[in-house]
Amino acid sequence: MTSVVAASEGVDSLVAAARAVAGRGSVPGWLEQLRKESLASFADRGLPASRDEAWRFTDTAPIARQAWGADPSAAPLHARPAALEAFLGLSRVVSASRTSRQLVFVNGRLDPELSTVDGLGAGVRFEPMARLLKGEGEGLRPHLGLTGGHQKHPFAALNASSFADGAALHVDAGVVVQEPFHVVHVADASSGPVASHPRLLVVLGENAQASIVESFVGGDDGPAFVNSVAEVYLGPHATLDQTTLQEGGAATLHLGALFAHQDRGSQLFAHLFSFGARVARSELSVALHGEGSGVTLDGLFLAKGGQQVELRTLIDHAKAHCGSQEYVKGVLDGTARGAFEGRIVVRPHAIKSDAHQKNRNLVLSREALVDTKPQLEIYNDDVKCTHGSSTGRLDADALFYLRSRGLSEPAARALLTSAFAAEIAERVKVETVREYLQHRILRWLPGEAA
Amino acid sequence: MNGERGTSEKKEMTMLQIENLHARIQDDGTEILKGIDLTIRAGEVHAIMGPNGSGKSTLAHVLSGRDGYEVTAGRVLYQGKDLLAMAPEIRAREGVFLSFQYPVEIPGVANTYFLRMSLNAVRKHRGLPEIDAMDFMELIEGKAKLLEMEDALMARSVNEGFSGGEKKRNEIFQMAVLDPKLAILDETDSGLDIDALRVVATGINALRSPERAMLVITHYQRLLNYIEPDVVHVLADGRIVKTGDRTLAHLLEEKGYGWIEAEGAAAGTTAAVAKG
Ligand SMILES: Nc1ncnc2c1ncn2[C@@H]1O[C@H](COP(=O)(O)OP(=O)(O)O)[C@@H](O)[C@H]1O
Ligand SMILES: [Mg+2]
Repeated sequence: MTSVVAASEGVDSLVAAARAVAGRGSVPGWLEQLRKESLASFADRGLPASRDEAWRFTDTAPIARQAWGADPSAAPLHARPAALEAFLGLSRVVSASRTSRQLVFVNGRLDPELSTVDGLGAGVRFEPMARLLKGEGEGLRPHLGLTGGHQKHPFAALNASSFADGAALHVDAGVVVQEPFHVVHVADASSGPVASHPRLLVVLGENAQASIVESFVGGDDGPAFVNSVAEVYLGPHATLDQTTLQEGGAATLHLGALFAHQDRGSQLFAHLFSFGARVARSELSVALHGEGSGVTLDGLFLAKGGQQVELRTLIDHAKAHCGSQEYVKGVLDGTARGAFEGRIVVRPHAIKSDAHQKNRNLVLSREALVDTKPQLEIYNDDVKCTHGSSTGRLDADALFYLRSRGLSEPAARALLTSAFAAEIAERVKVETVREYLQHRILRWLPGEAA
Repeated sequence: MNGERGTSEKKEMTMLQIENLHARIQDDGTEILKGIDLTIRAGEVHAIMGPNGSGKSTLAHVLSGRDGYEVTAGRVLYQGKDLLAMAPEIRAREGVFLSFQYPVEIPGVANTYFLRMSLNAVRKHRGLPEIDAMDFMELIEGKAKLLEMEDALMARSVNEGFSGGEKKRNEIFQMAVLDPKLAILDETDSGLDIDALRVVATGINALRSPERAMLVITHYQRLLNYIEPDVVHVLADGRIVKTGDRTLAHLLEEKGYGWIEAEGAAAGTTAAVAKG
């Protein structure tokens, strides 16, 4: 594979689509500039080569292989049966009857029928980005692109040059919102291969608190390329609970990147679940940029069949007295491949840093494989830092114990596997999501679950 | 309940019949059981005593179907059926229960949840309807009290972080709930202080019944002060070298195992069977 862009039908189609978005005009000058730079950056670098260390575990060749459409149709989800079914799979979490605060996008376009943002209190804005981009786009300008992901990351650059809409949540200083916000991105490839570039922006002011759930679903009936970017800014002592549910369709290629920037004393609780898609790569890049800030990151991936899933985290302890707790689990069956790469950087002045990373993987079949690669870069002595990773099979003693009490072998395996996965699911704070996950894990398991 | 064999004799049914059982470790081929013969009738409690490494746990594992062993000769009949042909879960559902010498910790699986699954698997096998969570809690209440299983313990993950005594109490509690026909108790007394031993023994005694047989494996005679066995066997180097009544246990306590081994060697046989 090469990094020459022009030779690929897939990349050509993506660049053309980005140009078309730019050509539509009527966007503020600052955004036009951002898009131009981003597109140039993507077009210059092209797709990452397989020998590129950072892309060793995710094969981007399928992106190059075919032309991606942008789905010109504005049909609502109700007129798209396969995608609607995928959406209804989330019905424990979000609602087709619009009872929660939710923004639903289909192939990157807002579905107004399913979106509702009523009843927000003062100091809270939860709205589609397209609306905020009218005029000078002052509602987005202070933060959009500020994490600089588009300068470092080829697909974040593609997203910045291509996104047409997205969700933005702003919570003003001192405002505490209990009820979670939901963003759902539905990919519908029923009328041909489709690319979408979901985008999320969350900005919490000083002492603000909120909770947001971002879900990705899709039908199984065609190839979709979902290239998502989320940016999170937490003001001093703000607290965000953030959950990502990746439930892409069977032929989906999902790339997701979250960039967080945390001010002093802020807390981020991030929960990442990657279950769907054929190829999925999720990245979380957290900059602890204020003293005393902290992040708790829980991740779970389940992969079977020929699924390929990668989780990458980067936690940058840029200031003193920051804490990070990572706990990532993976379960692999069939011929699935999984990878976890956890990088922790503790800068020279970031004394009294407290960084912990734990990774456990469970491999259920002979052919499944998982790679783990912790990377610790610690540039001062005054830190507490631990990490551990292990990969194993189901415990034979535990299996026998359960069978000796009458459980069939499949039931015993299912029970042990679900218990392994449930540990991460139980850490989710949003109750509806936790319940969804319980059922989802049981449904994922091979064989009879009882 | 067991009258389907046709005869009206009152003779107790043979629960377990082990004939010339030889078994070895699959990995390295080491022979551990070197010809065991043992018959246990319903209502009887047999004790197997023996020095460490004599093959007591191996016998328990072979009877309950654990992998890693290969039976090279002999057979085992359970209620007249070929026990060794059954998968471990089938043995359990048919009424064989093993109380583990080292109960396994199972993180993330709540004790009561697991036990209800287990009970329902057994009930289904016996043609009984599944029991729901409410009825289950009612059913286990008295048994939990008997084994002093506090609510907190029941809600925790199976054996996770349990003390030695809690683990053994949990084993006997599970036995009480699953209501087996044949209970094999592998060193249920090891690692217990005197109070825990008393609780466990009380639980075991409460489960003695004319329909149930028990095989109590122990290294020490201590447990047998509480659970009086009908028959005592001594296992040494994979063979039953002596069989007697409960006084044999006291003799062993006084003289130690060396005595039996020496006697066996002097007699030139290790398969001595004494009539009690
Ligand atoms: N899975 C195994 N692999 C290797 N050796 C084993 C295994 N199980 C038992 N043994 C050996 O078999 C012998 C009998 O062990 P065991 O049945 O546990 O004895 P006991 O319970 O009487 O102390 C010992 O020498 C022990 O080391
Ligand atoms: Mg033993």
